[in-house]
Amino acid sequence: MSLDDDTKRLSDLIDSVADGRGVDWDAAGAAPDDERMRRRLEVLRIIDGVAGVHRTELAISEAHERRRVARGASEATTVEAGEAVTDVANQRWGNFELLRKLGEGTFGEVYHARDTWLDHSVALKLLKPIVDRTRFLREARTLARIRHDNVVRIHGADEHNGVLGFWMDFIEGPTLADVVAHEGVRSPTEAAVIGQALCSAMAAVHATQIVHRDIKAQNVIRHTQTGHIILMDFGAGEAMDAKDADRNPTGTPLYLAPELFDGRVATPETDIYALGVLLFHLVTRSFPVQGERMKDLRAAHRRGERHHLGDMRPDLPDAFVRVVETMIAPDRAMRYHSATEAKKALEDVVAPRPVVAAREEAVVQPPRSRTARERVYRSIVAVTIVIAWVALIGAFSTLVYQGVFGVSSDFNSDSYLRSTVGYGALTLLAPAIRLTLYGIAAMLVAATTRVFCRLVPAVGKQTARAGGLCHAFLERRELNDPTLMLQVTAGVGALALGVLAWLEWHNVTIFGIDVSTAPADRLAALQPGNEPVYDVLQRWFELLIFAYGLAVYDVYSVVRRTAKQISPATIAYVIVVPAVAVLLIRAMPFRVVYMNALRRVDYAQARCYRVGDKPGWVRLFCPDDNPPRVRDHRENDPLLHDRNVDERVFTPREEAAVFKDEAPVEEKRP
Amino acid sequence: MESTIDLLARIQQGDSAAVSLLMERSVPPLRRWARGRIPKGARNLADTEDIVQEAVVRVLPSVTAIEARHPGALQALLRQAVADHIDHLLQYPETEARSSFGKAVLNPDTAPSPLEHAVGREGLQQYEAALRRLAPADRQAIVARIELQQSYEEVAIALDLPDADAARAAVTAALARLIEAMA
Repeated sequence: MSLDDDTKRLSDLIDSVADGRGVDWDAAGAAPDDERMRRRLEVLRIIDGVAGVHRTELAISEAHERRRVARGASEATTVEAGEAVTDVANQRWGNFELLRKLGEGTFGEVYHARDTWLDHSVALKLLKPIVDRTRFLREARTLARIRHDNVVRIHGADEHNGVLGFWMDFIEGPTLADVVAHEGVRSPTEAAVIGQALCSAMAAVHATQIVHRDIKAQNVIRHTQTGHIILMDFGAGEAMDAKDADRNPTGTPLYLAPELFDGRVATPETDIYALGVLLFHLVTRSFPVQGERMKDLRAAHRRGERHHLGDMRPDLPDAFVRVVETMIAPDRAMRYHSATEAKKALEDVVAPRPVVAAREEAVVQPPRSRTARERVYRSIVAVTIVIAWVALIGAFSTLVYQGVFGVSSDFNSDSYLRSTVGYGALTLLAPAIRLTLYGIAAMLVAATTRVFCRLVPAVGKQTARAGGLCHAFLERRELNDPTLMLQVTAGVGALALGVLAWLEWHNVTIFGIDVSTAPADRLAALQPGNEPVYDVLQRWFELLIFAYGLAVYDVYSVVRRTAKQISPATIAYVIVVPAVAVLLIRAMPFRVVYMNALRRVDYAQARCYRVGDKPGWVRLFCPDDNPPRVRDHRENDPLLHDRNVDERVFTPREEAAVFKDEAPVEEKRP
Repeated sequence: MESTIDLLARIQQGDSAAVSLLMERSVPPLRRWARGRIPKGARNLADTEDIVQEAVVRVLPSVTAIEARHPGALQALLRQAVADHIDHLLQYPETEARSSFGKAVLNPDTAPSPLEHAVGREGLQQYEAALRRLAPADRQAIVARIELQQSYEEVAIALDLPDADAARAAVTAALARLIEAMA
């Protein structure tokens, strides 16, 4: 056999040993000629021997475990210190006879046991050999302080043969984890009912200044007979005011609130988060944030990677989804702050209040005509609000214009509709178009950025990290309350608009003058050449409004994902800021600056413009006159000469149209 | 489930609950592993339990100080602690003369461990010596797969490798180097 063949044979044998297939060395072929190769096969045989022994040990161990489970032990024994209790049949601890092992937690093992003195069943929890006794006793003392129908009840604690233990109610029934595993996902109503019961339990726990820290499906039992929901396992519980509060994320990772990964201490909100995850699990069999390892979960939380309940179960009622999403909001401030608050929200899901009930009914079985009518009604209301707003803008613009030019209502020749809605629409048209274009540009930038981040993951990660840091900063400073965020956004918006108005104050105040009597240099500010000054002001204003809109939308999208109520005062404040800005910065100068091309007339060779008229009379503004520049004349005054051309009112004299036939037309007639 | 590395980090911060969790996870495979090295007459459950428990408790203080980059490193450390403890007991059986372990070691008929029985004392010593000379990563791969009989998926997790295929490649490469070291 060649050396190559031997090498290949060795390689195959290594694979067999590695894969644990075992090698029949007697049938493995003739010994190689090469001494070195022969030696290699010998040592591989030793290694295979080592592997074989360990393989056998594993098989024996597994077989032993299977037999032990199947038959139980035959002799009565006593649980002693340092012994991990695995074979339980006929074992005793004090006056308790161990019947079977129910489960195993972090700190102890729980058995179904019989109290031989009182002859009744109990759940007996025995401390594991290596576990800290203080913590175990703390769990027992915590339970002793809580008396609630939905919390497992402790009856006593003792120590026998060096083994510490306490005994509780024995509740016959599956855990919620078993229920979901064997019976499938639960209906939203059932989940909400379970949630209410657990909220009650949590409220009782929190009332004793303790956080549970390990609320999960495995720690909740549903009583087989009564369906009662019982919260158990307080091994991870901790006092809220503990000076040496544990900052390590204790509990089951999938149920841990994001702030716990950052070393924050557990709070009622972290218990509420865990309950939200539990409810999420009950209706999906999944978890909102997933990862196999702690660091995966931490990274997922930091990147904000999470499943939304509404996406996973679009069929669920909105109310239920909102409550669960609020419970599992990444920002602690956005969650319910007490179990009672969460319970109240769940009550509305299960048994809605009358008004809500009517709405829910309409959603479940909507009478078609009524929904259509409702839609029409809503549309009418929306259109009316928009028209009213446009009319207000137009009316304000007209009012300023009339004030500047001294056009009293009797000389106002514009129709009411044109003075309000007409000019309002004209005022808003250009900004509306530009804001739409800005919006499209922003969407394109966002989409491009998203694609870029996917193409270049490093940039995406850095961006997500920056977002995570920002998020963490807001949370650390407790600035992430939606109401506060809206108020701050509106405040910053108002400040920015105020600064803009202040910088352009000399231009803004021009609209407070009466052109009839104002000094000539003030009128010069309104010359057509000054229009670009106002254009710049308008662009800045539009950009600020756009940025403000984006910020408000961002905060609003956060609010929508939660069930947080924003006070009407805050909403009004958020709306009033841009509304006032539109009035002052857009509507006020609009007609005076941009709509001042009027009919040019000459009166006794003086340049004038018709600013208003009423039957038989015209009101003229003659910019070249000494004050007063506004005067009224009869329409058929022979000195009045209509030049039949529109011209900007504040056009300087030297730039105004010059007409050679300076005499009135009537005088030219033969 | 919390990773072993995370548990170590918690232990280093003084979290006693993490110690318990780590022991729960590490002791059962060590117990199986140790049974192959204990003399026949001392292989009842309680003895193995005692030996493993005692070795682990001894090494526990240093666990909080080590910087394990992946779970395999910790497993190797614990395995070494148990091996050293068994070696100590084998060398000084009289200190444990009253226990079944000591009696078994002192009795030549029941002295050889299953491993010695399978590959001979000399073969086992060669194997152990070569294993000690290997790079830590190779040693951990062999301990995980050959001695602890972990699946390739478990080996991948223990050695922080991407998947089972990578773990298999690592194990076969380590075996090849072990053969060279022993040959």
